[in-house]
Amino acid sequence: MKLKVEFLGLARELAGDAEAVVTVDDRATWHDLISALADAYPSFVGPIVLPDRSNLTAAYMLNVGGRAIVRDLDVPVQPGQRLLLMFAEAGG
Amino acid sequence: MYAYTGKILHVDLTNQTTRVQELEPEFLKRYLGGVGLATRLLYDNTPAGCDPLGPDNALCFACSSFAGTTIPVGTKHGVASKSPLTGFVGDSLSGSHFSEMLRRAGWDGMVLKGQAPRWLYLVIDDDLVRFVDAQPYMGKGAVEVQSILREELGDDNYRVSAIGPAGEHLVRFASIDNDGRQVGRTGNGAVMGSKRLKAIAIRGSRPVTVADPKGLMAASLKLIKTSQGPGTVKYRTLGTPSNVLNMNAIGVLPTRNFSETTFEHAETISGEYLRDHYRVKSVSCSSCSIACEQWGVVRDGKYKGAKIGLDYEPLFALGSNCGIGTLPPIIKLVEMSDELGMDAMSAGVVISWAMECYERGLLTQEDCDGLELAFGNEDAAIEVLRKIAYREGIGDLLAEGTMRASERLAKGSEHFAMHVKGLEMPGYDVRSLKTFAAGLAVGTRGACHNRSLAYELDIKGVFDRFTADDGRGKAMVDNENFACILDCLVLCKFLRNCFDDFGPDVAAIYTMTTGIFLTADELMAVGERVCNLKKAFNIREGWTRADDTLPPRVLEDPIPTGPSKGSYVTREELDLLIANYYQARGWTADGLIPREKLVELGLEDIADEVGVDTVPAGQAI
Repeated sequence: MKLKVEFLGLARELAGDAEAVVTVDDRATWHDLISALADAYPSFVGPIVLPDRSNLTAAYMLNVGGRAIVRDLDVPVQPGQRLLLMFAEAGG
Repeated sequence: MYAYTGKILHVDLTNQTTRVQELEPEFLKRYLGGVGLATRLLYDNTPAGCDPLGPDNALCFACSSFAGTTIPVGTKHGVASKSPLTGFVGDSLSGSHFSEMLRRAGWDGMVLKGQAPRWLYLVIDDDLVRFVDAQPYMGKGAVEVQSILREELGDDNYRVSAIGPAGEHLVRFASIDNDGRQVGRTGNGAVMGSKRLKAIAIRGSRPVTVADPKGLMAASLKLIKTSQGPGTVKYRTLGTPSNVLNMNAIGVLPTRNFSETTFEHAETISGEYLRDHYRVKSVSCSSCSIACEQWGVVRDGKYKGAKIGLDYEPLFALGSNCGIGTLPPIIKLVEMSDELGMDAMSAGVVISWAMECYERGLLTQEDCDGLELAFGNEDAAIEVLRKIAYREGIGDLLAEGTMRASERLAKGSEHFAMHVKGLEMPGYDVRSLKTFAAGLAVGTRGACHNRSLAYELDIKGVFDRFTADDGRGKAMVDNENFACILDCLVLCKFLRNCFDDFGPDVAAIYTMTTGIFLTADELMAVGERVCNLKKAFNIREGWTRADDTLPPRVLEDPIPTGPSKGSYVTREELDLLIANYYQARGWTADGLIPREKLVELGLEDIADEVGVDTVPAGQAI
């Protein structure tokens, strides 16, 4: 399936774009999506995705629909969701 | 004792005299510095019930524990007084070379009381304090006057804290500026203005020595390295302006006076847009290795030449919350706020309140001195901001802050007066951040994100931000205590994710710095002690349970659109979360502090004054 991911902050700078469409298997989990993002954007590895691609770094999180944070990476991704790759830190 | 000088400078501006207070290591260890020490000095030097803008209010400065040392992101100072906005504790912080120079001059802090018979500025050269006529500098901007004084004093080593026209005119949210950083919130600039004190120039010649130079250097280098790591990547890349798109994406970006939570022009006022079109450099506070402040410059158009360091909070307050959707007027407005010497957050929120009043017909164009004060009218916003600083026309009403202005205007405008205890709300619409909403409600200085830190619990998904349930009190207290420890040390909150094991690591750094042995448990206890001390100050000033509440809009109006559509905080939810919080604090169901709690925290000297003999909330009678 194709998933649209919006990039905020450093992710946008590294990707050079505000969003991307990532293709993953129909039974893909969040873990697979993170891995696919790392494949598509190798510069994410380090600052946004852990070097072993197992998870995002502490600085970043995936938000679904502006309402929920992805916490369990083994859960399958649902099609049609609005996905946001954004800084985890708030405050200022 | 190292680093600390063990001395507080007391200045009586009425009689233009000074005296020295000696501090024992044990006392310093209990409050550390910054907000902790400043609050304790305030408690001890301000009589209950005094007029915040009268001579009895003490304006207290305190250096961070690490001021002048190699510890990065730790040279700051705290200021506390009775707030003219809230009538409660008004503590604020600033990154500063001022703090380092205060310590080099031989002082851990200052207590300023009285009221000068004419406008003065202070010149402090180590032990020598001079009271100098400030008449030639009246009306000068808060930033501008610092350069002028340094030039006239003939030495760039002077560090200056100063107020601008807003402080001179007792605008209740006036700030104190030093090196372009502000003691911003709660109106300490108005307190300084009420004392007819335009500025304080300090030059110190003493070295700051530390107990374990080798150990501290190693710890400093490690901290500098981790401060360049993933824990601060947000701050080092886009700075806090990156919050604009984040908050917009999750539907909590305050828009048009907190009536909406997504802004159609969020993209063009974002940190990302700032970086691509206006940013010239990142700037750091004194001794900071992060450099989060993003300097933006307007290169053309009618705001050509405007330049300022932008943070998220002024950006939301004078941007989306006023319906202004481009960066040049916002850069201009923030630049003006800093130079006029007022808190850009409070200024933006009170202006947005006036804009909503105008759009609802509660304020007419005539009331607004002919200005069409509608959302998005940047020219009107700029003019009204200037009027606030000089208390001209409509500016006189708005200079009182949102709470007083809405009480004076009435006509139902209190419903959308966005403040807690008189302090204007920060840049989060808390209708869908329910833990944080309660955190703001119980805040001792009013609506402050930095004192609560509960936004992390909601935004990071520790709790479901759309619901409220039992069991959140301890997390709220833990976050508040943690924030307080950072404010006492002082360490910038942007360092909060840079330690392997915060308590032991920081206690060791403190001991290496001061030579005063501090355990991790003792360090963590400081947060709880100072939070209780601030609450005790408020209780002494007449705080009641009814003061811990939220604006009616948060409690009654569902969010109209966007990802958080439909959410608001019911009164039952707020009551539940506040009860949880009081219980976790060990306070009574009415939010009072049991006498034995104060004794347990080492505040036995104030236990009789503010403590109550009763059973804490949640415990059986």
